[in-house]
Amino acid sequence: MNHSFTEHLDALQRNLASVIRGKPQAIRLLLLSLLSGGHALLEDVPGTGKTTLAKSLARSIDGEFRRVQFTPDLLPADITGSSFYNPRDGSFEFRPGPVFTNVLLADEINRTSPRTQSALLEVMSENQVSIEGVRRPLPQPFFVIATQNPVEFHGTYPLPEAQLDRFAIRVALGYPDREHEIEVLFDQNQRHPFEVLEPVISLEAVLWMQAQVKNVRVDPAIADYIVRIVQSTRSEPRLRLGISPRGSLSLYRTAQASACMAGRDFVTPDDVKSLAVPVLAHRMVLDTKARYGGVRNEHIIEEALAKTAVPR
Amino acid sequence: MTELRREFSPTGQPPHWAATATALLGLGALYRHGRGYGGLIVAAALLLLMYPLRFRLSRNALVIWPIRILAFTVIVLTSGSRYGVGDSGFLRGAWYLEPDYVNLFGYLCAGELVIQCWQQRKGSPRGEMMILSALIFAAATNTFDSSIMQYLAPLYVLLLALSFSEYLPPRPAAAVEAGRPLASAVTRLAAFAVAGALGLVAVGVFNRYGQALAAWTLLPSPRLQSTGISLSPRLGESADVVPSTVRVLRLHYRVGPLYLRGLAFDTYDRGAWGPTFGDRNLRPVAVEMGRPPVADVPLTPLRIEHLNSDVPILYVPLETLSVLRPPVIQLQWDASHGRSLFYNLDDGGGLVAELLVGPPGAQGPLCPPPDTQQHSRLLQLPETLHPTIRQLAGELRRDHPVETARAVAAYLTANHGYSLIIRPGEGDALADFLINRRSAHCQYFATAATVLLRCNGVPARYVNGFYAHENEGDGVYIVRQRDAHAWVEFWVDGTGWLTLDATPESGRPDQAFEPVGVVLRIGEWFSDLPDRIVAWIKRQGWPQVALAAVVAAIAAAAISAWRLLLRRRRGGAPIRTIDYGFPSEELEQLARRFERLLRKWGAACALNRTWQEHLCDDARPAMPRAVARHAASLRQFLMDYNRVRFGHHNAPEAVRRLQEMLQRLERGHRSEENA
Repeated sequence: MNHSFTEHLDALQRNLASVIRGKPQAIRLLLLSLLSGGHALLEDVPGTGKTTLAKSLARSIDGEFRRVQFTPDLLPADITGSSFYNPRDGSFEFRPGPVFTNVLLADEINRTSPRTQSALLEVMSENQVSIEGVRRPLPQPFFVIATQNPVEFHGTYPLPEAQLDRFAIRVALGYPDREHEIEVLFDQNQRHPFEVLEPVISLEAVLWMQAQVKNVRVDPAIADYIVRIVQSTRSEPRLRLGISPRGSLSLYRTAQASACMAGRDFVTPDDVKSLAVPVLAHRMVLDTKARYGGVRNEHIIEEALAKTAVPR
Repeated sequence: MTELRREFSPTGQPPHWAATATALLGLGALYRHGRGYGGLIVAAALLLLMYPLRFRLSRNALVIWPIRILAFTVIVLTSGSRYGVGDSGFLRGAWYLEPDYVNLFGYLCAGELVIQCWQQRKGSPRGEMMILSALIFAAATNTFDSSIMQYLAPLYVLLLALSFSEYLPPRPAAAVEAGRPLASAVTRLAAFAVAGALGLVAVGVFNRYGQALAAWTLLPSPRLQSTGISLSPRLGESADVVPSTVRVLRLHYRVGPLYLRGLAFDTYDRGAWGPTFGDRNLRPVAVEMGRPPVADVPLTPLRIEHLNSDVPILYVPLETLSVLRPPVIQLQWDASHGRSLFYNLDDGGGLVAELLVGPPGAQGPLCPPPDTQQHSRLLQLPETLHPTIRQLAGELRRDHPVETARAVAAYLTANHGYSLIIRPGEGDALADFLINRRSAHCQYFATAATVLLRCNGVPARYVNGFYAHENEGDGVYIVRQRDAHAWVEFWVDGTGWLTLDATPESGRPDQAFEPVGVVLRIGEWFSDLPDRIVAWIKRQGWPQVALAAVVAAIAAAAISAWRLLLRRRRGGAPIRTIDYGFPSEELEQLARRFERLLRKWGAACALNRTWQEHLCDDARPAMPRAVARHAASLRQFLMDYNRVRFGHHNAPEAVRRLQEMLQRLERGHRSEENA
């Protein structure tokens, strides 16, 4: 593995860890998502640092950062942009929406209606916006970090399945432990550490790292293992919707990124196993009986892992 | 509640409910018993307190087991018997523990726990908790003299069986939570039933083979199970034996309740009857005992099976006219003291007898007229007999010996109550009983009746044995240890020997105790199961047995299939092997060799786990020592192997290096084995 990949990665991780205390695993998953070219869904209760993490990442890679606060009255055009009439020359002029950026923070994405949420579908899967028949590519790299509160909270809508499927990884931040929460208090005594955060790598470096990830070798046995895990969810009677091939691809890519982050140029079954839950769990839809029976998506994936032999 | 227990658990997991329940049951049994076992209760309470105290017990600490084994050995070797025959409780007889020794055990256990707390080493306390609670319970049952143990013991074994699930590999959390409620309930019920059946079988087996087990494991010469019959009756504070529901005899008899005489005693002095068993002169049974009776009386066949016996006494009715089995050459009797019959086990005889019994009052070979010497012994009275007794006897004198006997029985039953416990005052126990009109048990009544009859010139002797009354149906009677009884036989010229039971009806075994409970009956049914099966096989013949085996196999296969189906539906199907293929044959062989090595180390890796997580994950369960010893080499091997296997860095020298590493690990294993 190229030496500078590790250096870039260490720098990114250090930078983010200086702002988000005691969450190395969440930071790792977020970077995995970025390096695999996917998008991340941060899910947790308010006040756990979701927005700060997203902003810190954007600043660390020296990218343009936009934030959209999703509210019930938000319209699709407020996100993607729209054409407006210019009376001076009598023409229609396109005014880009906030998606035309490197890092888009879709804050509290599940507070808006499913219609507006769906405006992100094309953006996330094809990195472009089609308005009035014109396709407009987004700047690269393009990385969506969506935050959402648990669905049980007041004023929230469940995300459409198609959109959930477009997030490579779902990350739960969780509360910091006691020691780290004390550190947070002292860190923010004078000012927020985010205010003094400096970029540590360039956007070009990010693109280069994403390219490096694609060169990681995946043995056919590993690919077979991934597909077996995914396919086992499609025949699962407790699921209304199993995992799509997009899920297999996400697991494949994130496993490559994981290998890269570990300094390897090949994927091992351990990469796949460790990522199966954060990459796959949010893509499935439980049937009503299972949901009310206390079954959780994570359990289904753990079961799939438990009954699938690993390649050796 | 579970949350609370988890919170207080040092391992982060609550102790298994059944493990807790068994320990609590042991404590409950001790509490029920009441006095004298403070040390053990303290030890058990300390054990339970381990959880909130967040101390961890050491599983492999070298100090634990020597102390525990030493403690138990000391107790077993020094254990005594309160009742002379040691026969109460679940483990009975050979395992009886004196309170002092139980206490000693408790203190040693408490000391051991303190040592473990001091060490604070990692490990799961649950296995030890189970074993220690078992010992506590064993001690409790041995010091507990009530039939309530008969109910507690199966419950304990049931809980023990359930708690074994502790040692099964845990199911994935999802499978537990996602289980279908109905199927899960059915499975649990079935598991509960199977565990219950196993518990009852265990109780049955222990009832039947407990002594053999004790003999085989701990004690060099275990006492035989007592029949509850005293071999040297003495008027003491309480009955010589503790009433127990242990079965002693099984009778096949179609007429009705029977007095089965064991030993007859004709010498009485200062509260003690003689001669003792050791003083008797046993001789071969005379031929007349085996000869078919010629008298023109209705004969009833009687078959007696001895289920437990410490002394090979053949308990038979006085009216026995002939013994069909065993042959008389395998029997002995004590001709000069009432012709008590004994099996002669040296001749290879069994403990099953078949007799012909005459009607009440029939005089057979057991009823010869007393000779002069016997006659004088049968009228012998103690020199220190209280004058009031003589006066009382005079008041009960009638014209005919039978009427005198009736008067004596009527007087005793009318003026005395029945009690298993008696606290006589100073002086002669019999005089105290009669003069102060105390309540007492059958030994007192039989003694008093004998003495009163003798005072009136009626030759009489004291007899003990069983009163068979518990009809199981179909002409089968069960005689239990608590059916032991004492009565009188008196001689009437021209009539012969007659039986007189002077104990009040409320004290007769059929009235004195509650009928046995359903749980005990089920336990006994299971304990008889092996014999029933053997008898059934003998009756049926091989074709039927083979057919039954095939039916059982089909049923077992159907149950297995149903369980498999259930597990599949719950996502718990067994993991199937998947052939992912290998880049080269060399690598495949290398992988197979490595798996073999892991198996030899006792660290076989499940199909759904990678070698990396199996061997190198810090959160893995405890691994065999070999894995810990070679941790660094294993880490390096796995890293290189993955590089070759999945990274395709499979240059010949890389593969060769892998082979060399594996050879070194294998050599290490062999040299450790040789060492």
